[in-house]
Amino acid sequence: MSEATAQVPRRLHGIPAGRVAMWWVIASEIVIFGGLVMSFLLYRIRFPEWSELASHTSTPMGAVNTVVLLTSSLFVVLGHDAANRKDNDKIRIWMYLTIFCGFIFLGVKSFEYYSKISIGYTAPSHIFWGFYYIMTGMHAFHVIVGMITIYIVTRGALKGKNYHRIEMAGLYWHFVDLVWIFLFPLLYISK
Amino acid sequence: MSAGHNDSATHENYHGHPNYWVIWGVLMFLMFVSLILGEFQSTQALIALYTIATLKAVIVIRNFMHVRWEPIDLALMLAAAVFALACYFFGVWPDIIPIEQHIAK
Repeated sequence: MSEATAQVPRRLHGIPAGRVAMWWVIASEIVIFGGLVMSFLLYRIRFPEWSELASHTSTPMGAVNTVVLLTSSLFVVLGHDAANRKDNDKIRIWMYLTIFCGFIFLGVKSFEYYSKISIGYTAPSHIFWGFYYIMTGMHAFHVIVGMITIYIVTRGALKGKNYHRIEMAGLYWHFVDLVWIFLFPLLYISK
Repeated sequence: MSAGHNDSATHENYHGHPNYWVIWGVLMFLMFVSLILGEFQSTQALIALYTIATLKAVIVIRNFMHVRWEPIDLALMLAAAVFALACYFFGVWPDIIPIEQHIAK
């Protein structure tokens, strides 16, 4: 790539190509998670007696994780704002706080899994718990991927490179938050 | 990725973005409303619950993910994904309800 070309970022429909790619990933993920959520909803409508099983999920733990994820979304958007200003000190604070929130989320989730599995609510025990573990497990996996991604792009930004990647990682993290926004009422509140 | 690319990308700083802390406060408020609604096990409460979840998602997408500043093409891409899900849900829906009626008979 020549120096002259390097000065002009590639754009698609007026949007930087990297951002379009990330939105494409998110649209695909919406279909994956949405398919699971829709299937679960259809089962819940078909089998109202599942509400008894749903009463065994922990609303307080779900609420704590909701607060943690919504707060982490705030941190990551503040990190993005700092990246626009190339303020490395603020980037370090907000992005590492986001990763810290991820650890809290996973800690609460692990405790929740332990408390459920120890009393026999395992994935094969009932299709409700199968849905519960596949949906929350896939979500937790995305949280872990998000944390690793944020760590990598933050390291790059702190070296003065690729500040725009903070935004891409942030978009992914917000999507992880979005999924939880729907999982929370679905699994923890509507009983 | 070149340094030139990075610099250009960071120029898009979403001038006039809302106060993120206020948005976060609104999201927290809506979460507590959801918890209260959870105490009422009625159809209306459930509808309100999922309406609030959708509202929270829209707030995050528009303000934290900055979709309100993006071209309409991007919103259409997301709408296509949601449309696919709606097709799945309402396509399967008739297979769920009639079975129950059949059993009742």
